[in-house]
Amino acid sequence: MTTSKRLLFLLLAILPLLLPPLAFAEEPAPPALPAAPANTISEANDSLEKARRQLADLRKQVDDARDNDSKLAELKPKVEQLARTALEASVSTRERFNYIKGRLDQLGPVPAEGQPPEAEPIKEERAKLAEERAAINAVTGSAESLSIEATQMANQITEMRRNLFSETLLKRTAVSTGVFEDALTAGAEQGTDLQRTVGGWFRFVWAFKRESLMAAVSLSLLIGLLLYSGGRRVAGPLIERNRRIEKPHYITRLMIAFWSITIPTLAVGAFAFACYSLLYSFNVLRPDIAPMVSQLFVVCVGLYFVSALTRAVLAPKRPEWRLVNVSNSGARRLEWSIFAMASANAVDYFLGAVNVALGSPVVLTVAKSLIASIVIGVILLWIAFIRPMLRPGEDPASEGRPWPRALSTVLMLTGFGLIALAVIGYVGLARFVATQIVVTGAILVTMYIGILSGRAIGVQGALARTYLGQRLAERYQLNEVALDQAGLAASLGIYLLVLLLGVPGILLQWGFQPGDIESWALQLFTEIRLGSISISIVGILAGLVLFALGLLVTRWFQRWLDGTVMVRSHVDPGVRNSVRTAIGYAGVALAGLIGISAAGINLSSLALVAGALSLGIGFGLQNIVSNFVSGLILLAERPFKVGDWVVAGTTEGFVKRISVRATEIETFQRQTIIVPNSVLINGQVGNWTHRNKLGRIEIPVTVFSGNDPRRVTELLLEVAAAAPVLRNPEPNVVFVNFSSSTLEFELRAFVADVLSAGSVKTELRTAILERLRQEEIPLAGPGAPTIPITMDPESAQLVSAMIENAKAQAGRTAEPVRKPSPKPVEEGGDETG
Amino acid sequence: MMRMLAILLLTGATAAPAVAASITNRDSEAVVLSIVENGNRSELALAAGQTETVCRSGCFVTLPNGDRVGLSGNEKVEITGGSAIIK
Repeated sequence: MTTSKRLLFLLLAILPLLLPPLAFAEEPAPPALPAAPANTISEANDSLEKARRQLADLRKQVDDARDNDSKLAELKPKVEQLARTALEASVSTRERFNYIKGRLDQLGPVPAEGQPPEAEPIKEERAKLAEERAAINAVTGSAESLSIEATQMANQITEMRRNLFSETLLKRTAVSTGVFEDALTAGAEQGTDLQRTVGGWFRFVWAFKRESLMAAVSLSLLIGLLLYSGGRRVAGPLIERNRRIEKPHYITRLMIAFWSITIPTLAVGAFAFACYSLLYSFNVLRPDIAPMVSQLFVVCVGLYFVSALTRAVLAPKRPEWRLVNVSNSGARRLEWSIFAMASANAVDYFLGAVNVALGSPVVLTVAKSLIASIVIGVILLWIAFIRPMLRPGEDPASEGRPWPRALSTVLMLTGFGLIALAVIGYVGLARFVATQIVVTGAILVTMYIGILSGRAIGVQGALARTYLGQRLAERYQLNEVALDQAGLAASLGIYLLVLLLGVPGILLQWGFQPGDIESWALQLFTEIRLGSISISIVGILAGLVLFALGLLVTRWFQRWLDGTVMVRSHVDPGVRNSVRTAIGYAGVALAGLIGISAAGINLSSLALVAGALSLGIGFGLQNIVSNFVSGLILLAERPFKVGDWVVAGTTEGFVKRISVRATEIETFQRQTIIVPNSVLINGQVGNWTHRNKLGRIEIPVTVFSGNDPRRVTELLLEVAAAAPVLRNPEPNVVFVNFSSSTLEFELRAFVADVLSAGSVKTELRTAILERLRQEEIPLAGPGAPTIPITMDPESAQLVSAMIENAKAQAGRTAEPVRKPSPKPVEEGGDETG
Repeated sequence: MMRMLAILLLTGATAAPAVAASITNRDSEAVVLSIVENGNRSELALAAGQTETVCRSGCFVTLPNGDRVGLSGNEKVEITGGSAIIK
C-alpha cells in the first residue's frame, strides 16, 4: 500500500510535467498585451551592445590564432552563438512591437488636412508610440548588422581553417644540402636545449615538488595496476588466446583479434590520460614541458595500438591464430616493418611537439619530417620485396611466395612516391601521407576486423560454434535460441562500437577538431533536416520514453483501480473488465498524444493525416473500423460480459475476452472462437446468463399406457420436490402425449444456475427411475415372442379349426375369468417387443 | 491496437511540421521584402495572396513600410497594408 501511495504521488508529480508539452504543442502563446515594458527595448540594446563587444574581442582572438587550427575551431561556435544572440534580442522586442502596432491601428490614421485636429493626449500618445516603433526598428536593424557581421566572421574562420590546412599540406620547401647543414647545427643546439630544459625541470621538481611527483607517479602506477588486473579479470577470456584450443574457429580468431586490439588499447589510452591528468593536477608539469609529455603519451598509445594490431592480425608465433594466410617468416618481417614505420612516425610527431615547445627553427621541423617520410618510404619498398604469401593449405613454416603483382606495385609506388614528395620539397604532404598510411591504415584495418567479426558472429548459430559461446551456454544454461539472439545482439554491439571508435578516430586523424565532431554529433541527434522536414532523434527518443512511461502509468492505474477499488466495491466482474479495458485504451491514446507532441510532431498536421485517412477508412478499413466501433459499443452497452454463456449463430460457449476488434468465445470443447465484434452487434446473440443464471430443465418421461397418468404426475412432482431445483417458480409436469402403448410426460423445473443443469438433470432422471421401479410402474407392456410363419390358406383354415377346437375344450373344463391385467399381447406385442 | 498506433505514429512522423517561417501576402498588390539570412541579404517578391516559406534558421525581414522584424524560424507572418502581423 505504501508503495502504491508513493507511486500515486509520483504520478501526481509527473502529470504536470507531461501535460505542458501537449498544451504547448496545440496552441501558440497567447498575445498578452503588456502595459508599458519599455525597458525591453533597452534590455535588447544592452544585450546587443554586449554581443558587439564580445564580437570585437573574438575578432582579435581570431587574428591572434591565425595559425592555430584547434583554437580557430574553438572560436567558431562562439561567433555563431553571437549571431543567434542578435536574433534573440530582436525577437524579444516583438511583443512590444505588436502592442505598439495594435495601439496605432486603434488610434487610426492621422487626420488629413481639413479634418478636425485630434485631441492633445491622442496626439502625444501617437508621437510616443511612433518614437518607440522607430527605436524597435533601430534595435532590429542593429541586430541585423551584428548578425551579418558575426556570420561573415564565422565563414571567414572556416575559410582560414581551410587555407591553413592546404598551406600546411602543400607548402613547398627547397631541399638542398644547405638545409641539412642548417638542420644539423640546429638539431645539435636543440639537443642541448632539450637536455637543459628537461634537466632543469627535473632538478626543480626533484628539489621542490618531490612529494607531488611521487604521489602522481604512485597513483599512476596504482591506476595502471587496477586497469591491468581489472581488465584481465573482466575481459580475460575475450582477449586471451586459449592454449587448449588446437585449431581455433575463424570466428573465434576474429573475435579474439578484435577484442585484443581494442580493449588493451583503450586501457592503455585510459592509463596515459590518467597519468597526464595526475601530473597536471599535481602541478608537476611546467608549461613548456606539458605539451612534450602529452605528445609522448599520445605517440606511445599510438605505437601500442599499431603493435597490438599487427600482433593480433599476424600472430607471428602462433600460426593457427593468424587471420591472414602468410608464412611464419613473412609474418615476423611484416610485424617488424610495420612497427618500424609506426616508430618513425611516432618519433616524428614527438620531435614535432619538442620543436614547438622549444621554438626551434623551421628547418629542423622540415628536416625531421623529411627523414621520417623517407624512412617510411624505404620501409614500404622493403615490404614490397618480402615474400609472405602462402597457397591455401600450405605449411606456414615454408618459405613463402612474393606478393601478388598488383599489391607489390602499389607498395612500391607508394614508397617511391613518398620519397619523391619529400625530396621535391612537399614535406608536409609527405608527412601527412605517411601518417595516413600508418595510423588511418591501422584504424581502418581494425574497423574492418571489427565489421568482419560482427558479421561473422551475427550469422545464425555462429556464436554457438565459438569457444566463448560454448562457455556462455554452459555457464548461464542458455538454449540455442537465446544463444542465437545473444549472437545477434553482440553483432549489433560490435558494429556500434566500430562506428563509435573508428569514425571519430579517422576524423581526428584528418585534422578535424574534437569540437567539430561534437557539434556534428549534436546536430545529428537534435536536428536532421530533410528538405523542409526537421527530425530530432533526441525528440523522437524522448517521445518514445514518454509513451512508454504513459503506458506504464496506465497499466499501473488499471491494476490499482481494478484490484484495489473495484474489488472492494464488489463491482460486477463484467463491469470491471469494461472499465479496465476502456481505461487501457484511453491511457494508450493519451500516452500516444503526449509521445507524439514530445517528439516534436505537430498535432495539427495529424489532423491532415486523419483527413486523408478517412477516405482510406471509407474503403479499405471499413471492416476494421466497424469492428472497432462495435467493440466500443459492446464495452459500453454490455449485452454480455466476460464469463457469460452466449450463443451467436452456430457458436456457443463462454466469453473469455472482449477486446476492441473481436471477442473470444471458448466452446465447451475448449475451442477458442474469435468472433468479430460487428457480428455480435449486428447479429442475434443469445445469452444464458444475461440478467441472472436461472435456467429451466425439461425431462421427458415415457411410461406404459396401462399406468394411471395422475399417479405418474404425482410421483414425478414428488421426485422433483426432493431434487435441488427451485421451489419458486415451482416444478410442474406436463402430460404431453399418449398413444395405444405409451404415456408421455415432461417434468419441468427451474435451477438457480443454468451451468449446473446437466448434473441436476442426471440426478433427477436417476431419482425418477428409482421411484418408478419402487412403485412398480412398468415403462412398457409385458413382452411375448412373435414367430412369423408362412402357410397356405388350407393350412390356415386347419390351424384355426384346431385353435377353435382347443378353446372349446378349455371352456368346458374351467369357467373363463376376465382379467383386467394387460392382455393385448396380440395388438401391442410387435411394438413393445 | 498497438499496430494501429504504430501506423498513426509513422504517418505522423512523415507529416512532421516544417521548421521554417511562412510569409503570406494578404494585400492586393505584390510586395518586395528584404530578407537577411545566414549573413546574406536577398530580396523576396510576393504576389498578392502568395505564401512563401523562408528562414530555416532565423532571419531578419524588412517590410515595405520600413518596419524590421526578427524571425526565429517558427512564425507565421501575414502582410496587410505593408505591415506585418506575426503569429
